[in-house]
Amino acid sequence: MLHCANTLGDMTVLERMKWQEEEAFCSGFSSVFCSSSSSSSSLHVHDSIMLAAESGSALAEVVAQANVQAHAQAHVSPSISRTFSCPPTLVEPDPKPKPKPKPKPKPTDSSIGIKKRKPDNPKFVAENDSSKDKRIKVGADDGESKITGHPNREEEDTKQNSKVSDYIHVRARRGQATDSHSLAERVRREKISERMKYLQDLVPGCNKITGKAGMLDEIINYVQSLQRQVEFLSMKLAAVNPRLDFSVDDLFHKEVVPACSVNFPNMGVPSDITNYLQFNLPQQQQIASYGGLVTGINPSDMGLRRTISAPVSMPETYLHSSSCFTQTLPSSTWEGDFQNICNFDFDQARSPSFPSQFFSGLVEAGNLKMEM
Amino acid sequence: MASFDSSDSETLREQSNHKKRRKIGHHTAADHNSAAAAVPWRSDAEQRIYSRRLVEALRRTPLSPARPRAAGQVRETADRVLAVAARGRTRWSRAILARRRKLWTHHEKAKKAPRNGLKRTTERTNRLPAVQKKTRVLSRLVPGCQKISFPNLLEEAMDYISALEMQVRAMSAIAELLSAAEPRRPESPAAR
Repeated sequence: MLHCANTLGDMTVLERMKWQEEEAFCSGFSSVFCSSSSSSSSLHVHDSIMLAAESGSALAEVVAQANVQAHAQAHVSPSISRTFSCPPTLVEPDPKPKPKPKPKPKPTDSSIGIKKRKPDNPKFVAENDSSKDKRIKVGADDGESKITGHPNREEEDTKQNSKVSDYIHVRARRGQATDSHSLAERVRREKISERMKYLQDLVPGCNKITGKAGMLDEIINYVQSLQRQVEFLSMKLAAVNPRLDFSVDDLFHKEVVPACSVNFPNMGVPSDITNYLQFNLPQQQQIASYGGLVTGINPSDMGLRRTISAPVSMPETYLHSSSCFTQTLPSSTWEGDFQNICNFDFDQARSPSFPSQFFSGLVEAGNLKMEM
Repeated sequence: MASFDSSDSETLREQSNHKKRRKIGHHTAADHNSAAAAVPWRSDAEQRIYSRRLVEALRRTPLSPARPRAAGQVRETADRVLAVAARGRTRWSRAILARRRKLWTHHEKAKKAPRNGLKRTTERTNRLPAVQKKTRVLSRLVPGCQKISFPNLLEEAMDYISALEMQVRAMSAIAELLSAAEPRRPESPAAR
């Protein structure tokens, strides 16, 4: 980082001025880029650059701008593509100026579109054999059709990743049509095949299936099965829903049992019970519906029966779990268990008779509803 | 919101179809974005965040007295939380969030149904490209993807599948924890 500044300082003013046209941008950015990675030294570099470029006010401006804009990804990204090749240029400025003009014509090239770029780029003339030469893509992967045979390949790639150009540069492969239509077709086809490959990885059991129709079948089946699973799970969750209120903390802290034992001694405040009374009375109409639910959903029946004792033993949860009580009314075993546990809970209670009276009343109400 | 987005992208697509040179830059940018966005669905952190948000949302939703609807409510809540987790980058997530606002205006559906029926019958008799039929089915499965191009549909399906997988994992974990959290009888504390 600091060595950048040193080399800048070593260069003559003339050389620096030459740079300013094209490379200065790059070098300034590169120095800033180097420095921006360690934010503490950025200021130092900046200052040293300022000092070094006495007459290069433009350079300083560039650097200042770069410093300001270093955080904006959009500005840095086009320059980053240049910075990868820039650090060597700082050490050896002489051979580099020739390749350097290439980044500049790029923006103009990008506006041309999907065509063979040979007539536009003089740099390709040296590489191409004939005017109608269809070159094998240089360094292109199988799946990547968008790389052009540019000498500074990494710059081209990063440049295309940035959103400067709206068009994709496509090179016709050897032995293929060079029509713009077919080129566009090929791009589209390759996009589709690329995504199909991704999907093949996602959807299990698609390795042996080739062809769009089969793949689509598999994808459709998989999406449908996933959606059905979500439906089933949501039904299950809806059945277990009342437990959410007090078991949320338990879920994430996984302290199911200790929570139960902790709350146990704290119970017995009459106010809680009176609150429970008020809370519960309006909800009696829910009893029947919950009862219907319990009989309707078989798989969750067992789960519900097992949930009986849990809410009962936690007096604070009485406030929340009234609906849970009502859910489990129909089962006769519940009543037995409930009264046992009720007695057990309220053994030490101030007013043991009071809640039991209330609960029995609740049970009667529930029975009435059930008979209806 | 979703309608604006779709109209913008559709006009763009129309333009591109008219011209010989397509503006594919948008799609490739979207491809890179969504390809990158598809990965976070698999992370544990994302699943935990989703689970927490889902549980909170479920606590807040009022349980309807009529039980058959409760499962639907849970499903909708889960989908909405999932769509929020998608951070609005994908079309299906925006469509899910917009679903709620529209409150299922049945008029739109009624209007479109006969038109589509006519089109479908004529198209079926004329040509049966299996791919197109399946594309249509898939576009109906993925929310909000009725009229988008095939490659974009594939992209949306990709993201939707990863999101659904995460949703299933999270919901099954929650359901399991909830159902397993009950044995608090003093005699059997070791269930967890």
